Amino acid sequence: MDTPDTPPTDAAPPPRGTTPEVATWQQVAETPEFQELVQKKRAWIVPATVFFLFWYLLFILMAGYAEDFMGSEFLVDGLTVGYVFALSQFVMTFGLALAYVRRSRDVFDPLRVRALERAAEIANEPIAPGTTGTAGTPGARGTAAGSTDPATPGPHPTDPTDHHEGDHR
Amino acid sequence: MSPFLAQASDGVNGLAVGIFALVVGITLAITFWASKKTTSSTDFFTAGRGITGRQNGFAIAGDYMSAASFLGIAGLIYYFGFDGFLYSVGFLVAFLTVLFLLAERMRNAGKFTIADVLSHRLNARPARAAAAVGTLTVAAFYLIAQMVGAGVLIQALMGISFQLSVVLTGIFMLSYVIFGGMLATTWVQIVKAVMLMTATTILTILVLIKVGGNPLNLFTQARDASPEGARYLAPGLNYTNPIDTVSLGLGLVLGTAGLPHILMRFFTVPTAKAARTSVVWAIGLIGAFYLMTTALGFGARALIGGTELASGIDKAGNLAAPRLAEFIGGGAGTFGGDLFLAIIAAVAFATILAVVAGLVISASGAMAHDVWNGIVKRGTATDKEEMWAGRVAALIVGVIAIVVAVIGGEGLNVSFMVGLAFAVAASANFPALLLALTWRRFNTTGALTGVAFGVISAILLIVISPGVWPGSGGSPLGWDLKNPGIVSIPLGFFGCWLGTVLSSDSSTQDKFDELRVRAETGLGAEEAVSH
Repeated sequence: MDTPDTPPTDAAPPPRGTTPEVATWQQVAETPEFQELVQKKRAWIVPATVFFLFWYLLFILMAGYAEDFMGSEFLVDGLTVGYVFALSQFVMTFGLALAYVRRSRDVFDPLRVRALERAAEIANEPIAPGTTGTAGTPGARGTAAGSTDPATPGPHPTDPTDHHEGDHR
Repeated sequence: MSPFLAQASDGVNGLAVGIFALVVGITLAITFWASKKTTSSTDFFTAGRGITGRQNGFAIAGDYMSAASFLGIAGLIYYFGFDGFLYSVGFLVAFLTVLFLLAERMRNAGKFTIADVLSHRLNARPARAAAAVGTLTVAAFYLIAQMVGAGVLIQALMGISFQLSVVLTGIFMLSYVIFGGMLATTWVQIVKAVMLMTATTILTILVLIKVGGNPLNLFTQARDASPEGARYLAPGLNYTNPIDTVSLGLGLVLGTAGLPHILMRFFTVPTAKAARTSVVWAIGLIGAFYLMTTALGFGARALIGGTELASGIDKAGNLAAPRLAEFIGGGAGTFGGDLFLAIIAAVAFATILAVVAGLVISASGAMAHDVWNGIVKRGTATDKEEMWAGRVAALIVGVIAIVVAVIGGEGLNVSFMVGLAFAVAASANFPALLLALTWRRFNTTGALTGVAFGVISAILLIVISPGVWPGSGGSPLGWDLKNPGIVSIPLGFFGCWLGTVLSSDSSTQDKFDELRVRAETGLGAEEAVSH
């Protein structure tokens, strides 16, 4: 089962003209535009994920190990520390979700458009043999493949996500 | 025996039946409309990818908020106060995992199933087998749990027998999926989400009015009405073992991101941006809903008190919300009380239908698209064949679920099966999916061992857990964790790592770039079909 390079057995062929060969996927992945997209996303998502998991696990741990503290009164009769902590989880979830949407709109989406534009350029430019592969692509269908065939339309040059949607408020 | 249960056992509740019929009529009309638009496998499994972000947000909420959430959590809060609310918090925070790590990537790299995402970089047939095992395990246990829950609830609320309730639920569920595919399923879920949110909001407002308008009164009155007193607002009434609490929390927050029927919803929108939008809508709806479950549970405690509900028949407190509705409407025997009770019963019924339909279509995708077409036919099936395979698969899954629920009967342990579904989702599906998307070294062997470790450890730990062995002095092996997550989730990740490093297969590292470019940019993503 570990034979390398098994041809994909997907049910349907990928959409016409939108799938570069292996070498091209790697080239796209190595463009500075794509690298910047991935790094910027990682730089936001990793700390945000660490934060929400920390805040949530702290809540759960305190619910498990600090029952008395969690049950103590918070400012007014009826409210406990535990409930305020629980409600803060709701606030955190709403807040982080909105922050992510805003960050995506302002930073990630424009970067993605640029990465896609760069991918379209790569798909359309002739590729000299030997320059395609990074080390470690022996046997990849890439070396001569590239996308030199002018009959093959390149990847979508525009952000496919910019259509259809008007409801992201 | 309470007046409510006496009424239920007296016979069929006519008002409830009438409102049920209305709900069923609306959903069947939706199905008829959807059936004419379902002409390809993309229509059948993904509604032609033509659902908008906002619609999908409502549908996710409708897919996710099961009767266990609506009635179960209200009941848990009624009984255990703070410890019941722990579930609400976990169920909501879980969507940050979905939003940050999976939603857009699923849309960009997937077609019909979780396996589509994995097979971009892993060897397709074993990857599909692994993903199908995870998907079918989760869907089967969750589905049977929901069917049994449906039977018990409809029996109590409408006065028809358990068996008939299960069969009726199953027939409607199969009608939506087989004839109307994902389009009908989606709109049933949207209708349900609107009904559930409306009913819950009205009940919450009426409860708040009853307690004097100040939400704090709800807290103090519920506390004062509880035999536990101040401990009602503190942790520890349900979970006495802190490790169990942590284990539950982990299972909830990571399990959601491995639920196939939730992940499948991201294939129904045209773009990754719409997938993102839909999670934000879902978070808003689900968050508002779970905040209101507090009002339902505390409201039942403060207004009805402890005596009527504490009958042996309703240990789980599932009837706290319906009883509260009856009380708010004017009490048992009054027209208002009956009407409110009937409406809540209808909402619960719609809730069950929407969830089971979503589960059936996700199981159908795994069977038809992954097992039949991907593994048996090696991807050679035509589009029409795949659509019909989906319908046949839905029928098979649905009939099995109905038969198991009827044979297993009311005695089947629902919480065991729901716990198992979340545990497998968190321990098998989530690690494999996350590592495929983020770890360059990950390979096919890793996915197989990871899923095997996750599924087996979750099932074993639940089988030996004390909840499965009631009354016999606890687990035979002395294992006293009710929730396996704290052990099985790390084991799932460990299995992924172990299989990867033991295998010499490095071919999938090259294809990691492909999956990453696809997932992050949407290059080569499946496009929406236009009708």
